[in-house]
Amino acid sequence: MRSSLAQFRLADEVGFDWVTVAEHHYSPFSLNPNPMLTAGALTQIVRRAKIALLGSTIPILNPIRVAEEFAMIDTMSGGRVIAGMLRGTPNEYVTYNINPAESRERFEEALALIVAAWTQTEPFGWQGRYYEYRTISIWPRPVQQPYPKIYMSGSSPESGEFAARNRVGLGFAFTNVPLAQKAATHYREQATRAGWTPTADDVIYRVLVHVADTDEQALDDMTNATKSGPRTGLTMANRTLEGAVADAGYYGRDREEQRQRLMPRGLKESIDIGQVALGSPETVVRQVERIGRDLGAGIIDFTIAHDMGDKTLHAIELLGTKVLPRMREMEF
Amino acid sequence: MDAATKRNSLLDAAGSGAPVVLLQADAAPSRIAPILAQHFRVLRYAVNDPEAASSHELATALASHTTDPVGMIADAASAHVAFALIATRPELISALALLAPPAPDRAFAELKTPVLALFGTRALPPQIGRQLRQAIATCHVMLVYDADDDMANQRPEAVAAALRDFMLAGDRFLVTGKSGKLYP
Repeated sequence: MRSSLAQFRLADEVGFDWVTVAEHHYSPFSLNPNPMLTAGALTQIVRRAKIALLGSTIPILNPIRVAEEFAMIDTMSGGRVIAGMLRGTPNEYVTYNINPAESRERFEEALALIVAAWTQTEPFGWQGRYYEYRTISIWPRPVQQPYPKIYMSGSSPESGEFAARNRVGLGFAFTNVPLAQKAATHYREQATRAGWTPTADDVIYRVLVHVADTDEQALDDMTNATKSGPRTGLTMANRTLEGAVADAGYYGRDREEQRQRLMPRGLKESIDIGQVALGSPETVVRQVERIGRDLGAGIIDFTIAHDMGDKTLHAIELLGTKVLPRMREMEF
Repeated sequence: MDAATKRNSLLDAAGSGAPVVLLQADAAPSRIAPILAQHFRVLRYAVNDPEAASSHELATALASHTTDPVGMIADAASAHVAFALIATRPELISALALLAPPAPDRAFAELKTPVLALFGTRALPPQIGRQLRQAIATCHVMLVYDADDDMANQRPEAVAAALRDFMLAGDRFLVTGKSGKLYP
């Protein structure tokens, strides 16, 4: 945790626009079951960058608690919070014993409830399908008015349609550029039908990245870092668990395509389809430019290979000094 | 038939227990009345020609069916009659619930009767909560998810559950009595 905070501090110092934290449960690769706690710590060490929670897995949480915590962190950071709202990965429906078949309905109601909690100026009750409260009145309210920018994950057609109807941004993670491109196009078409046009900054794409001084060094670092092999347990790499969640009805109408997103792939294929950006700064600039151009994504969320000690810190420096300035010149 | 009875016609009565009057602007069937009738004596009135209806006429019509104070539920079109009645004869109403009401055109500074206003999230007028609270300081506001002004037909179980608890407990309906225990 101490090294993670040092990485966040450095990212802020070298000019990253956002630092991001995610929520994952029972997960040896993330160690972050409550991003609100991490974000609270970040408000005290990240002075300039926005703090993006990408995000909170709202169908398995208490939405009022989520609204309160986002508002607190927005207050503690002086209005720098980005509010990512996610359904979570399939395995996470085991964490708090929530029926995966109810995931999407819970998500939609929870988001409506959170927005109402942020915006209603008088106490109100909520008579929902999954949530019932007799009186809601959160204090503090968010600093950003009417509320922080919201993103949701959007790989499935249903998610893109819901995001378009509700005018929220869309984020892609655990996917690849061809699938995200198809989903982003659907989102934009649905937004047009809903009477608005998303900007490039309404689309986020998350990519695993490692940068070193040379392509060879970056490849060597990554190869050594992943030698320990896959860690499954109760993570999304557990295909038995994922299959059971799929059978319960977690996915939507393109179930098999969504399941393919989560299949493990080799490094070369992962780079080719935009899941990984790896190499020297020049190489990574080219890879990121291709991703941004193909998707029209204004925000690239780097998942930096974080457990390489000094090599990770060097990667953050290279990204901040040699990649980000070039990215700012790109127009998508 | 006199004008008061004609304008406030009793559609039907069902159930037993404390009287609850359901005011609606037409004679359409109600999906919440049968649910509420499991707990209350539900008297369903059509307020015909609601613009012309008066609180005096409504009080007269009610008196022919019950002498007890009633819980009253009014839809949007008949809300103004309910407001008028509670302004002039508050002793006749033990609790007032309103489905998607407009903001009242008067303030009820001294009102002691519990009031609940329900709105569908798909048709929530901006600032209505503040307007209601300014007019009726003790008014509770309840949002019914995924519904509009026709919430009683769209989500009858959810609407009736809130109304039932409010009619039974008044302001104390804020405190749930629902058990969270999974197994004994």
